[in-house]
Amino acid sequence: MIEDRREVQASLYALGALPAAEVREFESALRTDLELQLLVRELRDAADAMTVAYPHVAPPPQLKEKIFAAVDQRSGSAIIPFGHGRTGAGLTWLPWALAACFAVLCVALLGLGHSLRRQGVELSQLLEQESEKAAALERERNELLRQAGQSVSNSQQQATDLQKQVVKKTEEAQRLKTDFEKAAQESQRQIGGLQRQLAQNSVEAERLKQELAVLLDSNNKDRFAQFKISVLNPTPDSPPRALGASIWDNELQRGVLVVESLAPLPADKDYQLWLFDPRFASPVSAGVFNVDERGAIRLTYKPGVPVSSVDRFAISVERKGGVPAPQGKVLLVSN
Amino acid sequence: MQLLQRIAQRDRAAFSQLYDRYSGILYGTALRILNSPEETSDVLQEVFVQIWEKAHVYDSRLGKPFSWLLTLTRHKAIDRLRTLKRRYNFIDEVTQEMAAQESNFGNDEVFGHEKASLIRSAVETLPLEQRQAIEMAFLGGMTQNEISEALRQPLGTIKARIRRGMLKLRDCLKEVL
Repeated sequence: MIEDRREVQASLYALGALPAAEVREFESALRTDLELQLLVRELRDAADAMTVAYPHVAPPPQLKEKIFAAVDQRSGSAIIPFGHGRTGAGLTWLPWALAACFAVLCVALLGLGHSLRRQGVELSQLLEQESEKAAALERERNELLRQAGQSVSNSQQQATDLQKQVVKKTEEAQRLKTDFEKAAQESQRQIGGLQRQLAQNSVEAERLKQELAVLLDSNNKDRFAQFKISVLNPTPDSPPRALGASIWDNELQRGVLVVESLAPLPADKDYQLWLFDPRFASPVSAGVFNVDERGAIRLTYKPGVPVSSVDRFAISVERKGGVPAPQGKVLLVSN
Repeated sequence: MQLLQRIAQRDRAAFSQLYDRYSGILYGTALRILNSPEETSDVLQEVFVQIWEKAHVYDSRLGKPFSWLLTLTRHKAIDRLRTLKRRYNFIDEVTQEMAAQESNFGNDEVFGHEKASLIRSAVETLPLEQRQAIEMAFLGGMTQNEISEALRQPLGTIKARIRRGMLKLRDCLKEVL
């Protein structure tokens, strides 16, 4: 993975615009970084290719001729023309002597030229072979660079992915461990609560067993003759599972009421308990109450006036504080 | 044997072939830099004379022949631009380019018609501000600081534009080149 700073430098370097102060440092990094070398090469190729997009303007037709003329002139300047000096009257032999020397020289040069030409051909062939080898090596090198860059990139990506997976799994394991510890603590707490409840229930059961034994004792049977025990059943206006029970002690003029599954009332309403005494034309109020969030309550009640006997019990919904005679809907009533 | 190797051996036919193949794209590039046909002709003549004389120094390990020729041309044209004390003007060039959009692109000798079309499409996808910054560097020979001053943009913005533009161009052309 090439860092952003290097990518900026590589872009500027490929365009020939990297500041001179940074060139040495960048080239130093370039020498040892195959991936960076590949990037620079690709960026250079891309920049060069960009020139294809420019509108075409043909060079002037005479430019080619001018260039060839300039090339010829430069090549020709190296050739020294043969001199046309005057010949003296006393030196008539000189041309012949020069001609003879020239002939000898030509023969020698011909031989030398032939030898050089053969060497030149051999060297050309050798050069061509070496060039082909160099081109093949260049192609091979480019391919290796490309593969190396790709391989480095893939490996880095895989390493990054694995690292992410490890972090994710570690976090998940930590979360599971925390959840498990919380669940274990909660279970422990619930077990403790249940054990305490069990102990209390055992005590209560023992107490009830003893009370039952007392109640079943034939010597105490007459003691309960003064009690009236009634079940209060739901009416069509009450919740279907609503239920109540009342125990009335006529001698003490007080009773105990237990209800379940009634709906909690709004703040401006109360449930009101009524006792039906045949001596009175209308029911006698035994007080108001409300239920807890489970719709239940257990209370001791006492009527506002003494009653001679109670035939029936009823519970109605009334305004807050109660009313002198039933007005609202009756939800529970005994037989 | 490659043309440049033959030219290094003073092969005039190879030199003529090289001129026919590359003179169009090199002339177009130099003209885009100098915006003057006379100056461009002078520069191209200098470039080709240099090619004739220096073909033997070309090293294929350092790049493709076209890259070498383009580098020679860009450097000579930018040097000429500096000698004339002028600055590369991207805005004018864009205007000319837009006016010449209908003209015939004739620079397909180097890459072939199909590749050249793909390259043009890729260049056209570059946002104008990225292309402007890239060309001011590549063709104007301007440093990042000079581009920043000329465009009145923070240096970081110029660097980011050049980086994004070059990487996008590279990605678009990766399969083509």
